[in-house]
Amino acid sequence: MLFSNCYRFPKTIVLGLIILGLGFYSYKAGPETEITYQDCLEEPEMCRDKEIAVLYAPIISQDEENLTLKGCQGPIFAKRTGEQISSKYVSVKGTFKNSSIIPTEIKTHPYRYLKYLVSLIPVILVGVAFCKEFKFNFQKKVFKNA
Amino acid sequence: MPDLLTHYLTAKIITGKSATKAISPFFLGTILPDVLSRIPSIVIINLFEKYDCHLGRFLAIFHSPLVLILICLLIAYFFEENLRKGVFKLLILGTALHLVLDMLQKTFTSHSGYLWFFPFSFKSFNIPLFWPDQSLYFIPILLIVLIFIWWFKPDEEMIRKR
Repeated sequence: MLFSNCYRFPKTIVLGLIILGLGFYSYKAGPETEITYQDCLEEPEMCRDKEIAVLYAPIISQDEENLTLKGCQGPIFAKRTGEQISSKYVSVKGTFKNSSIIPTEIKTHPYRYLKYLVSLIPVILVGVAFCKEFKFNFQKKVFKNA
Repeated sequence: MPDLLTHYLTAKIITGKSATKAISPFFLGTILPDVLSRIPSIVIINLFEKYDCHLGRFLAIFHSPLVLILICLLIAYFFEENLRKGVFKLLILGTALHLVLDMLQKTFTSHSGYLWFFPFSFKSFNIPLFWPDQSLYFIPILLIVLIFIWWFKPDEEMIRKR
């Protein structure tokens, strides 16, 4: 019954709607502990001394004291700690004070671009293998063995 | 996430030399969670040059087992009736392999992990062995193992002939 052609179209629509619904549920009811930098800028008093984390933020500039990162609707300011950061992306975990993050931890992502590039290979390989094995029947709107 | 090539090579090692026919849904399953969640976020970040903090919450569901089962079922409906069950099983096995590898990596914050029990809980669980970027170091090792398997393991046709 589950895999039969019976009510195939309505079953597909219902499944799609359930997945979308679960996505919106996650969007609305996601972890409350997640305070974004944008939240902090909107309500600085509420967010003072709260712990926040910014993930995979691209670096705009850095000097001996500060890091300026790209973030949601405007730059993010963080105090730089440790050595020069030789990476395009960083993740910063720290506390929010005076419109900037005082980091407790900075994680660099030196191989991000390489990772993206390398990830294209299997997408192409799987795509080619899939097209070799299956072909789409437009009349029945199904994939069948090639 | 470990990179997709690490996922793909691991799947290739597991299937071995014999699995060359009608197994592409398994490989599709091994890259499916990242294709659905990471690729859209990377495209959005690079197009608009900003990280949408809320988008992540929506896309996070594509790394939860329950949603992935539903997606595999949805994809299976696009196949002929006689292929559907087999395709669904292969997709499920592929996505399960993907999630197992993802479980082994570290996450920067406690809430940036994977939603194993979604929609019942938003708690995540990891066995932190390596950082996401470090998966690139495994590629040469996996390639050597794969070449070794392809070189030394006899294929199914040869076994059948014997």
